[in-house]
Amino acid sequence: MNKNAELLTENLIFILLNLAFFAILAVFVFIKSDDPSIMEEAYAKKIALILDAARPGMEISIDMQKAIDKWDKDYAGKVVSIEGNLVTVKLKQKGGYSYSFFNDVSLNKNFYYPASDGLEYTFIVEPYKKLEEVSK
Amino acid sequence: MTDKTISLYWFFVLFLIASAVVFLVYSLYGKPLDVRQMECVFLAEKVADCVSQGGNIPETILNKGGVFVINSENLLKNCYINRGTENVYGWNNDQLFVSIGFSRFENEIPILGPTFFVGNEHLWDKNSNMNSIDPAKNKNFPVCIERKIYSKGEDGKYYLITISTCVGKKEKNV
Repeated sequence: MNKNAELLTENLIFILLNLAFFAILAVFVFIKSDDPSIMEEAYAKKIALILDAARPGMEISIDMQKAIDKWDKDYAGKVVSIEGNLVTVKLKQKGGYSYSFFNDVSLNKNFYYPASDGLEYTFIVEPYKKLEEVSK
Repeated sequence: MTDKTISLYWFFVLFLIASAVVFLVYSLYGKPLDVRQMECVFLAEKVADCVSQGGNIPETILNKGGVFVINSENLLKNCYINRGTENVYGWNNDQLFVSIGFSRFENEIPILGPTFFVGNEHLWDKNSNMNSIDPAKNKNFPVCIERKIYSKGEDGKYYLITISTCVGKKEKNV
């Protein structure tokens, strides 16, 4: 092999190795930033904090666009579920993140995704029933 | 400088870049979101709304005779607070602490009154002066805040109400 060809091969290998390096780095960053579990945690905590600050009679709508984008379509269950004082956001079958809220409010169970854009999660905070009933 | 040296130097630079990117990604996405400070503020605001409404202490807290209706047992129920938590990390519904202290003003001098508290009192350690700790630098501590408000009671007297709240939940926020 003459010297020019050798130089070309070396440079080519060097460039390919560099490209491979940056590709691996980009894939790593993409995989990490696209992880649905990060979104599950963020939305569970966000909803829990909203409920902590909620007052009876409020109707709250949360934009779920970013979560729905990462929703695994093979998972057919609820994306957001609220049981007692625990919010769970689940975007894939083997996943889910729960966070508790302290505000002892009752929620209207008819939360839904409006048909117009299918991206919002809405619920209504009901009046404090327990003590009202007690006082009656 | 030979080509080989340049190449080695180049791969050392690449290694540094890779390390920096991995470190940044893990520091950004590897740690949970810490929402305890906000949770603590909301808790204090909720308690404040409960014990003082429009600058007056409601009768469900202090009656006209100056007797406190509220106590450590009914504090949570009266203020609609649920201290239940997820059943993980050995948490036993002990990740919150709420304390309400009342001082009555007599001739403009505050007289220390009762303090009612509920939850895990170990979260609130007065000796370590939690309020002076910057939560950003001391994340392994529970986050605590203290609020003071003035209100008029149904007995016609003025009260200084000191509300202290703490949130643990370290495992899910740090």
